[in-house]
Amino acid sequence: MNLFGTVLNGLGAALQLHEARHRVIAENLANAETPGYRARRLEFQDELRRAFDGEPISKTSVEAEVDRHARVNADRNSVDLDTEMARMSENALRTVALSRLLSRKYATLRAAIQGVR
Amino acid sequence: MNIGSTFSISASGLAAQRLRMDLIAANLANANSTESPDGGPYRRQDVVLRAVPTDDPFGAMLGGAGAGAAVEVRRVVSDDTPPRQVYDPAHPHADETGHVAMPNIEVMSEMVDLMAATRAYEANIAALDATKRVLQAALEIGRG
Repeated sequence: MNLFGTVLNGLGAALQLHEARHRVIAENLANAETPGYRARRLEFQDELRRAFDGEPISKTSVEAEVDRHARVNADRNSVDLDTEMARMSENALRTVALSRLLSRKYATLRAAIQGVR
Repeated sequence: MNIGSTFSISASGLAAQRLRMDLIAANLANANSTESPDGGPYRRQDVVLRAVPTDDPFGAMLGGAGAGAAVEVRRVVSDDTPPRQVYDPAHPHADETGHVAMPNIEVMSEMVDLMAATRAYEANIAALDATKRVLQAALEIGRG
């Protein structure tokens, strides 16, 4: 029996992926005024589903890709400040929520180990 | 994830926008300077920004996610557009036709650039804040 189950793995992978996405957004924001820079996105739905099925995150399949739908402005930069801010808020909120979930999961495990006194 | 490198990405954005604001301030302050160390009127200064790859072990582990970029000021350039000619025969720098070469600075466009730089700076501050919040939440894991 797998004592800790796949939920812990899944939550851990989700946290990792969300933090990687946060980093990509931070990069987009840092380069919001860099001529020629193209905004990048990190999408990982499939990866996440597989992580909850117990597979480890593969090293190559999670990759930030240039957002081809983003509008490119006069200096060939495609970072939209509002979009990035919105995505960042959402992503940060999700990350915090995931951390809390993970915390709860550990608390439940601890209770199971210690028993009710 | 190497959260420290996310901090440094946002910090690179802050530094670049800050330098840009410094140059805009210099441009505005010198909008009427008809003399400069290299002779002639003051010339408008601008930055050339460039995306630079960061080396991040976590990103390398995740494949391409680390191929991202901080920002750096590649160089500071002088704007070579010709100076504005203003008719002012009484000015000590007036030429024989009474025109003075004034700096090639448009106060309006400098103000617009200043606003863009300020907004970009604020966006990077917000990113730093979010990184901090995420890190704090991560520190809380397993505490209660």
